[in-house]
Amino acid sequence: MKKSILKKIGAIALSSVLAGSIGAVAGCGGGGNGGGGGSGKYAGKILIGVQQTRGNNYEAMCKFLDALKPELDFDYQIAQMSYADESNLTTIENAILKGAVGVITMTEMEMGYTQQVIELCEQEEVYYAGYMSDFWKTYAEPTTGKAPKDSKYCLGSVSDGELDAETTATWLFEAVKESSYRKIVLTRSPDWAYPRSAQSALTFKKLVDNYNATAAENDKFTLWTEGTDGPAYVLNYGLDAQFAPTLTKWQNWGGSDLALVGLNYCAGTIMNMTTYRDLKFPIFNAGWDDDVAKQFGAMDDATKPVKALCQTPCETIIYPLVRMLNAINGTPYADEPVKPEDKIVEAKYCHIESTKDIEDGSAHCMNFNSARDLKYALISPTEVKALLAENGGTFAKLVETISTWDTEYILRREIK
Amino acid sequence: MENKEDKVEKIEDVSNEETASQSGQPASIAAAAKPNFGQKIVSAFKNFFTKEHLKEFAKDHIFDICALCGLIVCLIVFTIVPGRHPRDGKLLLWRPQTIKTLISQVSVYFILAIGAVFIYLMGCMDISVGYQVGVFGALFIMIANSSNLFLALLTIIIMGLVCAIFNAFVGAYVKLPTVMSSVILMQLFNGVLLSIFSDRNINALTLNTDIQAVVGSTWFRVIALVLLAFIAFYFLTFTKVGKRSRAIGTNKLAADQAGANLLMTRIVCYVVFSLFLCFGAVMLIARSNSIASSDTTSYQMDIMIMLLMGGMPLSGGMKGKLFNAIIGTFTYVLLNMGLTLCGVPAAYVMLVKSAVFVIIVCLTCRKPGNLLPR
Repeated sequence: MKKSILKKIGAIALSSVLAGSIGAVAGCGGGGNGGGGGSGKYAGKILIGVQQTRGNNYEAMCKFLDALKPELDFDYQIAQMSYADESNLTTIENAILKGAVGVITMTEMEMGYTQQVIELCEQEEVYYAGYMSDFWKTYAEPTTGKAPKDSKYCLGSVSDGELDAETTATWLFEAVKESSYRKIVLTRSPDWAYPRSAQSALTFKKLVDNYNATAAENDKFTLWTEGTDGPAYVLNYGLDAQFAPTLTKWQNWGGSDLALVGLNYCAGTIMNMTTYRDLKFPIFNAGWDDDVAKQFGAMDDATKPVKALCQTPCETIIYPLVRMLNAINGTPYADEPVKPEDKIVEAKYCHIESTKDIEDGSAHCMNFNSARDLKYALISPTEVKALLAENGGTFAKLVETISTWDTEYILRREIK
Repeated sequence: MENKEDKVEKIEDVSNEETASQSGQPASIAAAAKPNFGQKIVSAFKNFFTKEHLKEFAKDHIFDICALCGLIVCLIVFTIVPGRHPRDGKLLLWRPQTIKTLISQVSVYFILAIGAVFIYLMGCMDISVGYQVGVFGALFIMIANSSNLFLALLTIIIMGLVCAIFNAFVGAYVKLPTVMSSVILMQLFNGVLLSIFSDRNINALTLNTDIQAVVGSTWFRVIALVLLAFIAFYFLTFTKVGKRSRAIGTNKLAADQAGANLLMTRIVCYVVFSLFLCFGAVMLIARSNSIASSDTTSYQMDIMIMLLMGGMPLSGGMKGKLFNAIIGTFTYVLLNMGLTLCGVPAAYVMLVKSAVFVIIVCLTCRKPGNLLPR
């Protein structure tokens, strides 16, 4: 009897605490309608789906968006996306039902649920765009590709790095060539991301073969031959425990001459494993994964494994954001692209391959500045506002702005 | 010769005379006092709502009542707290699009949960649900893309039957707890899923035939869910298998000694469960015309939580009902959607759901021996 009374009291107390916590969390969570100042015409809340809620690129993006909020009169909400279609679809559905006016996602655009999302966007008059991804594989899908191509609510995407497969592979090859490492393992991770990286691997191999044809014997490259996808070894993201034997095998094979070339964001996976397993070899990486910039070190610095990295600047988010705000305000560009392929825009990588580059990056780029100082933003909130259609902006000007952000501009421009 | 009708009339007359003589009334009035169907209903209604009967009913169904109250509370809270849509001004939870999306999100879980009732009633548990559904879905798409939908469906049904028989036999002959056979299947299907997706360097398989237009439509979902619920209800309530599965869950030894064929019952229950898994996989594919490698990996825990939320005892037995699965599924999905509509950040949604789960377990935990499934 006493036990059951105590149980009831406990349940009531727990329920009260729970009800109170739901109320409190609901009250402080989700943000309000305050975009602040600007034109006085509040656009609404935009859902931004990200792959990771940590790392230099993410932190810089959030700080940049916080600066844009009052100027452009909008609000945003971050959602961590996963590798599960069903979970991502549920997240996006619930956000749209809550009243989001737009969805910008970093998830791979060939996801099957894209069609479902576009249909919901059309019913709810919500706009959809991609950031650091591209739609080329989505467009190719026989059943789900039609919806994003044809829908006026799908605004296109800005890519993570150059859209062709060769540029990044060539740059990585040149970076490795400058070093002394000649035993190379080509890697990609996860296996389904960056679909063009398979082509990058073939390009890298071709460059190696061409170099070896004229190089001295002791200067020739040797590639790890047990690739799982052509010349590249594909790391299944997350299977950390299973990689230790493979890493050990690589290290035993390559010794002090070994270097890992990450054709797309596998640095996080590798760095976790080097930390856990105390395996040290240099990594030449493409992609924005985790705190890869913090792990960058000079060639002779054995404590920091990353010797070359490239990332797209966080400011490229202005492409989906400006297009979305134009659409929400009902003011499309006069030179709005007609073909769906023209809505996919390329953003260039910023290449870091020396300690000078990282120092310049720290003093010129939000991505690489430890405080993510806004004065190093590639574009100011006022300049972003000027790109809106209602302020005379054009699609050509928007694309041109992003295309000027190459390594030289990002690292060496004069800071006003 | 008297015919039957005359005999019946005579019996009625005698009965009325007896009633009349007992009550002191004329026979015609006694005949008129005999209650008709409507009066019987009213009488039953009145009897139900007597204090003693209500007390007895509440005592027997306390967990079901708590579960239903939980769902009602969720509905009330999520009607009031999220407020209205910023553009059309309608209550967020009750907008047509929200209802449609809720049905879409509930549909897969609903099918899997009512299938799982057959297993849980026996006091068994299956932790390979997610991986089975994932493999069934992947195989369905692969076969449908290269052949046709019917062959794909037939293949996964056959696979489901094989898994069902495996689960049933391992429990019966190897004398291992059924959860162990599901662990074997879980590992097996995990490996199959990984190899299907890793070999192709893809994260998701997309169906080339658009089934969303039909199978993914709201009306189809509603009709399918209602139909499957009725079939499950019929099976559980009016067939020997349903009754025996409850008996096994209550006391396996007594059920065996009472003549229940344990192996046959187990096989039939697992077969039904597998069929529901196949339908669930198809319904999942209909949501996005695709399936990803990690879409379904948490389903086994989700189903257990849903059944608990609905008031189902994990040890099964007589107190388990289909009602538990229905209420639990809607509560779980509504909680997920409602918290997001309230503006709770995604990181906290899981925390809140966990807290709700803890409360429910505290409220509904029974004797220690009856907590865990076999």
